[in-house]
Amino acid sequence: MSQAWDTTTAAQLRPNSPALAYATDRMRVGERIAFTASTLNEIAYGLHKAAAAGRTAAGAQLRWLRAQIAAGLIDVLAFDDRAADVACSLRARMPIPPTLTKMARRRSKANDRVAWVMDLQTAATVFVHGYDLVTADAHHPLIATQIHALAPAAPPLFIHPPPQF
Amino acid sequence: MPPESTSQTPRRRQRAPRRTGGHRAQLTVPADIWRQVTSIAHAAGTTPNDALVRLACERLRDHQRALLLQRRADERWRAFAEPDAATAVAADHLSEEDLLELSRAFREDG
Repeated sequence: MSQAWDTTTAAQLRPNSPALAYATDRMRVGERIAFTASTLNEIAYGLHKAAAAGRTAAGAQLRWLRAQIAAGLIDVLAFDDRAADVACSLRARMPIPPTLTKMARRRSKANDRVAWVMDLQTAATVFVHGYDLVTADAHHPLIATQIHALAPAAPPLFIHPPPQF
Repeated sequence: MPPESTSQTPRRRQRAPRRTGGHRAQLTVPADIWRQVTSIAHAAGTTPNDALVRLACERLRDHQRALLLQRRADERWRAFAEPDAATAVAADHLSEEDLLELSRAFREDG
């Protein structure tokens, strides 16, 4: 089934990379990879921030990524009305990110909350567009379980580990 | 026949792969599409008819994929939204103040 990559996998896509070869092979067999708009938001933020600080390679990567999207290598899934509805339903039931054991804290609590909202948006977007999610983020199986509780009759949101490039 | 200066051997007519078990059709292809198909066929080393069938196959594959995704997306949405609609009970509308306060919760919670 069609797969959407979250940031943990999507950030590996760059010129001459194994991830690019993989995505190109998928396109040839009619299975384009997808990012959610939220995932693109996360990636683009880092690149814009670096570009604004003078790292020209970040600007180049951003332009390259835009070109891949324009060329149809990557589908970008919109955070639309349905996704917004599902994401907020999830957040109302899980307002803060569950604490995962063995996970070193790298961010402030406030940043954790922002990341959590983005995770919920990503999962909801993938769900309402009919895709499966490729991610290494340990929160997503928990989110998928909550989605199943909200809509038990729905075709489930499958979570796949990132491919071995 | 090509002029002798361009080729010493007669050019063999390009043949498409033999397809069996299909439907034989005669159709009129718009001129501009035929030009493009001919160009694609030339680049791919095949006939315009074969290129036309290949393009149709690719487009059909994309169409089938889009249909499957849309079907699954709609099934998921119905499973999410319909239980809400089924259990809805008549209620008063929220006041403007309540609605504004609830809308602020997104930024203020957590």
